[in-house]
Amino acid sequence: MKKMTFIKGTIVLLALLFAFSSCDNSFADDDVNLVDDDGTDLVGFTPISGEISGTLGPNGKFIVTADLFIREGQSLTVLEGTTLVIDGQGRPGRSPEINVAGSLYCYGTAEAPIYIGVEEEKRTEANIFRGLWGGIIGTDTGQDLVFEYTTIEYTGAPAEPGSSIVAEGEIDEGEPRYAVYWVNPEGNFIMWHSRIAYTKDDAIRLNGAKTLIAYSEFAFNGETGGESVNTKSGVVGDFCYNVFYGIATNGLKAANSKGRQPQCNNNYYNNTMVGCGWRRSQSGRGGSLNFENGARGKSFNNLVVDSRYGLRLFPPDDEPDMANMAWGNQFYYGNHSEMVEGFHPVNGLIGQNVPGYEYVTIPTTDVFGAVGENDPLFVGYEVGNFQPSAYRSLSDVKFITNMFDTFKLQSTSPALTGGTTNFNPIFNQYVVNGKTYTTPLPSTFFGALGSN
Amino acid sequence: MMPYRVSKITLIKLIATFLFTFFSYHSLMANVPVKGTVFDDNKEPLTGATVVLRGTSFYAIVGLDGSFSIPKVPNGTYVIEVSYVGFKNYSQQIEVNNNTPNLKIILDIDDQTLGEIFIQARITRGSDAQARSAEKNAENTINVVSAKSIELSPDITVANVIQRVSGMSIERNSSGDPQYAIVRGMDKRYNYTLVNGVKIPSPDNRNRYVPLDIFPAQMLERLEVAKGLTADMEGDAIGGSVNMVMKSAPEEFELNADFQMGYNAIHFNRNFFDYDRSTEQRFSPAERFGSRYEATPQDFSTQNLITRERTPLPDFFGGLTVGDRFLGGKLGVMFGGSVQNSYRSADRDWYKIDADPLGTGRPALGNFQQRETSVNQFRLGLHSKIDYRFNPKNNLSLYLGHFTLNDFEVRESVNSDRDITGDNQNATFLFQTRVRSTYSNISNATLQGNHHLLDESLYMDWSALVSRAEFDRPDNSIFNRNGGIVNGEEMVPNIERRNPRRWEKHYDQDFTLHLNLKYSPDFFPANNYVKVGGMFRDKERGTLFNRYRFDPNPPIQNQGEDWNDFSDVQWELLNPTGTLGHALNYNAFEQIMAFYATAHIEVSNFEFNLGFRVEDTDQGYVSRTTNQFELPRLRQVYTDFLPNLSFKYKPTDMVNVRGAYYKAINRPGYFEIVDGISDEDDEFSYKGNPEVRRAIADNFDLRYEYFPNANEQFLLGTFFKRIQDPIELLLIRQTSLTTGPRNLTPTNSGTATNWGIEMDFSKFFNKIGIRGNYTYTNSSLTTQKTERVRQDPNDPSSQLVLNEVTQTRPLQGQADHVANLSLLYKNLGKGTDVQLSAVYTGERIEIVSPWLDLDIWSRPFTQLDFSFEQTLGKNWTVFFKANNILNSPYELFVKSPRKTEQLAFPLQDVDGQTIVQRDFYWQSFRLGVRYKI
Repeated sequence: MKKMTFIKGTIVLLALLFAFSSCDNSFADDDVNLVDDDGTDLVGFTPISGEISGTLGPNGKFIVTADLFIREGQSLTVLEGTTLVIDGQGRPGRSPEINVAGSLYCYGTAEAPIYIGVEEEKRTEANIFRGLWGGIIGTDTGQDLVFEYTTIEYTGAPAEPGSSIVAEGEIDEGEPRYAVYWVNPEGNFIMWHSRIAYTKDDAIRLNGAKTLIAYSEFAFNGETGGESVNTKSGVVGDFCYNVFYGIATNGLKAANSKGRQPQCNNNYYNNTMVGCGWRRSQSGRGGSLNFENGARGKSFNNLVVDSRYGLRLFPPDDEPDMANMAWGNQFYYGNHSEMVEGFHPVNGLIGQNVPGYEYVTIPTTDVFGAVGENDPLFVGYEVGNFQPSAYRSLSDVKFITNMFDTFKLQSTSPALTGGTTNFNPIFNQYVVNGKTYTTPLPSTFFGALGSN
Repeated sequence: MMPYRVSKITLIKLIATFLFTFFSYHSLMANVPVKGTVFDDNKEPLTGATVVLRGTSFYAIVGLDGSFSIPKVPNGTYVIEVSYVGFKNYSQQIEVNNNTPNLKIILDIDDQTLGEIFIQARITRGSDAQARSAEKNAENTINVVSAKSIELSPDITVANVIQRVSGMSIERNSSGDPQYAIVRGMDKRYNYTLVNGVKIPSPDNRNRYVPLDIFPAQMLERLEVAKGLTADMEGDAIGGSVNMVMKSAPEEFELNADFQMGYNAIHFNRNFFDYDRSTEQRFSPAERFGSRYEATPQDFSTQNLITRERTPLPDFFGGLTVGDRFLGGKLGVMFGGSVQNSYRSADRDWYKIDADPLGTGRPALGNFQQRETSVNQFRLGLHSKIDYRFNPKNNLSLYLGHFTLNDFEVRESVNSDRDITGDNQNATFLFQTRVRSTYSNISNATLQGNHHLLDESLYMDWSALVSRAEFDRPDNSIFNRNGGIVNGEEMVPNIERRNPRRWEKHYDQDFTLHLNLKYSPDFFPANNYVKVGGMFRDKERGTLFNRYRFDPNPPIQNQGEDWNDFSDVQWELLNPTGTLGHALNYNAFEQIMAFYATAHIEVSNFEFNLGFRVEDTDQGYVSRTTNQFELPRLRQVYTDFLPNLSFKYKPTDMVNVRGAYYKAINRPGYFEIVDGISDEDDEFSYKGNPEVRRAIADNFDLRYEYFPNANEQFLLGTFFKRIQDPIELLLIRQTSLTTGPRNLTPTNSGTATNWGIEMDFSKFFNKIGIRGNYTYTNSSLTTQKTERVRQDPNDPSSQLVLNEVTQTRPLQGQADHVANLSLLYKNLGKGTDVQLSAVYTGERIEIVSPWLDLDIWSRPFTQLDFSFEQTLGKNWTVFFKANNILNSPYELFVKSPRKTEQLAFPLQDVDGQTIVQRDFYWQSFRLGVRYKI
């Protein structure tokens, strides 16, 4: 008996010793950080990468082969007619971004706009949501970001583990980057007669900036979610005379979350939004215009057509700063019952008789009706052919240009009157880098464009 | 304690005597009872000794308090005989009549020896009496739980046992099982874990502390909890240490086997979720094909992520220990093995909360989640202890242990953003399934030696340890679907974006040497000595973190049309090369060198210990981060001088008065200083902080101890601690930026004070015992908080602003009241043991909020456990154990009403408070048999 025990014991002992001797001491090999360079040669384009400051252009042609860095205290000015092609393949390690710790000024003109995107052969409909490059990513030291007459397309490549936006915790590595990210409440952001289209996620995410976005167009932002302009605390400014088409979730969304100062305060007026809110894969999401989580601001004179929701004020406990919200005079059109029911969404505050917010009734100044009523009569876009399912299956994803002509109103449009001019922009003007941008005042027509 | 020579009276003989008397028992008509007590010459009761009236069938077994009573003995003359292992048999002629006095019997130790065997005490190893004796004679304040009381308690793992100790509470894992020790309400980071007196590494992915639920309780000889430090102990335990003394070879052949079956009551209500692990890939694509490999969705298995529901099989627990001595007692061998396989489930409802965005300072309710978790836990413990006694003055022992804990967990949850309309006709849901396998183990080899040198004036002991802890969590996967209700109609669930699958693994490996020299030459007064020694540890830790994220492609895939289970979904991989450039891929090192000297002086009834310890730390890491904003390497070198003073005053044999001062430190964990963020898949992500420094504490203890006899005691103590820079896990924004989401970040926060009173008693009547302890703790710490208010509180149109304010609060994890009460019934004659144990843990801060007044507290928690044990015949015992009889909910709350009281939200059923979380674990039951030779 004793002997048996001893033999068994010896076996266990040997087994234990074996367990110790089979240990290894490190994981993974050491060949990270090696990146194949398959060298893109684009005829006539000057390769640039790394740290950069000074001036590019006018009418320059550059190819960005790796991340560009504008360091703190420095600035880069891109002049009219310049094309920046980013050599992005939408994969980790091959999707450069423009990282701005200083200032970036893009001064295009109506005649000679600036293009920031990908080489021509990649500008295909199939690539609309492919997210080919990393976007313009600010850091907390970024000072000014100005786009005049500038087009930005095909962004949304997965974030690199080493990028500032990941370090900051805004998104994780592997998640799509925004086309524009700005994160300094003391900084400035101007978007003036510019365009951001074909982005995989949000077009613009602002975690702080004094902001003016006017006369600009947004198309196909967000594949299965994402806003055109998503602002958080620290963002104060005016968002007016913009056109939004085919946005996954909201065109404009404000929340005072993330705990920066000052309080998020946005005025949304005279914007045109068409076909927004259908590609958000989760139900119950926006929209067109959305305020939540302690944000304050105004929303007037917007023209919302064929969209999932109208203006949505989020219900408790994430409601906006209702004491300091003003809204009314929205014009709604829908050719489908789902759209009509969403003019004043049931999961919002307006007209829903939510306890404590019974006073938030549907404004008498809102223009809305039944299915197919109040056709705004766009010049180049026929309403009434719209099917939500087509949007959800992405079968409607296609190029759209000339939005400022397409969404003008015919002279017989019912949306030409009914707006209010009885409020002011937050700032009458924005002065950035010595240039003054006068904030356009509200108009009595609905939407961004009026008629000729 | 003096060594005793022990006669080799066998256990078998005792049991035979016991059984003989047991089976010959029958009641007789009689006149008077014969009563008395049986003690040894140290006034310790000899519980279990047999008292027989020679030539009759009258007998009794001595009870817990040393008393016995033979009822109804006819008048006459008898010879009373008392026998007990290790003692000389006692006999005395007595007259039984109406005036028979209580007998006071003292047994003498049997000095006959077989071989030159020394043991430290004659008291049965693993007994309660041994435990009390260790407490009484220790130089510092320790509490000891014996193997016997572990066996009798309803406890499966060492973590369960811990909560029975005075001033100890526990932190639970997600399925409600105790996992970590909390000493005097102080966070788990303030204590360390030893095996046979030597520190072991932890498989925990972030911290130093060792999850105690990996150790099966039945492998313990005893559990020692020290709430203070002496100079010869490592200095990084401000709260104290937990020492698991593993079973060592017995003097006689011993075999102990048990088998238990169990079930958890939650499975009467709902099914258990599990999955098929056979296709699980233990290595990620980057590990299989190289770190530059661009993986595709085809490189990932899918069958292992399909969950299924079933009724679980009963739990089973089996254990075996065998031990004996050979070569004339010189070679001792003990082997133990334990296997446990159990099915645990828990339900949790919880909210994400934040400060009211509108500035009332109240909590606003965010996302609401209802969660059902199922875990199949598999534990395997194997250990052996071999010792060789060259001669009475020298011995060597080798301990080998390997402990495995594997968790196979499925978590199903439904999230809602609470944008549910009043009529429930519209809502948004996120359905989430998490499948997670975790394999962890600790291996340990310790060689120890004890040597008496220079005519026994010098005593040397040493130990050398190699130990390695491993943690492997492959393919930890989350599958998100969204759905909802639109106008009363349920939406077809569709795949959500950003589904992660992650591989994590690490090892933590120690090589440690200890050497202690105790010098007590003849020219020193008796019992005085000096002790010097040192230790060296070389620690290495490596980790791997590789996460892939998947989007559905095409983006809309509806359940029932495009897919039915996980394997049907079409995916796009967002980061084909994984995350091997993430900071969580790091190697950490730590070298500790320490020296100490201490003097023990006894003057009449006083004992003094004067000592100091010097600890030199060289700690750091190298990470593979590719992030330009993160520190890829760090090294911290520092030296601490830790004085240590204590006294013990013994006014009588039964009373000790102790006082102690010591300085101790608390080092940051290896990962805590690594600059990098790890996202947790729920609640908050975690960020290392290279700035965090060690905490330093001054500790004062005063304790009064009264030991009326061997297993009874009364202890009353008080303590005060001043902790400079305590490390707490705070929810803060990143240090370098004013922006970004909040992370749980280890942070030095000010100077905390912590004082308390503790009480511990055990009292036994003949068959009934009561054991209890209570600790009151009051800690205080002032830290920065933020409040969101209107700039001008009287102007509702003014800006919402954030203000910095200070707030004083208890330390994180610090419960004010911790109490334990056990009622024991022990009928040695019939072999019955019954125990009812209650543990009360007062409210404590679980999460320190960055917002003023929004700390998340846990509700006071009472757990009631029951065990019943019956000896059957010579070798068998059957037992029944029930845990968490009250099904106490674990509840978290904020001490402030919720923001929107006019709306009814689920879970919110306490006025004036906001309920943040409520967990239910339900009862668990076990039925078992034990076989013992």
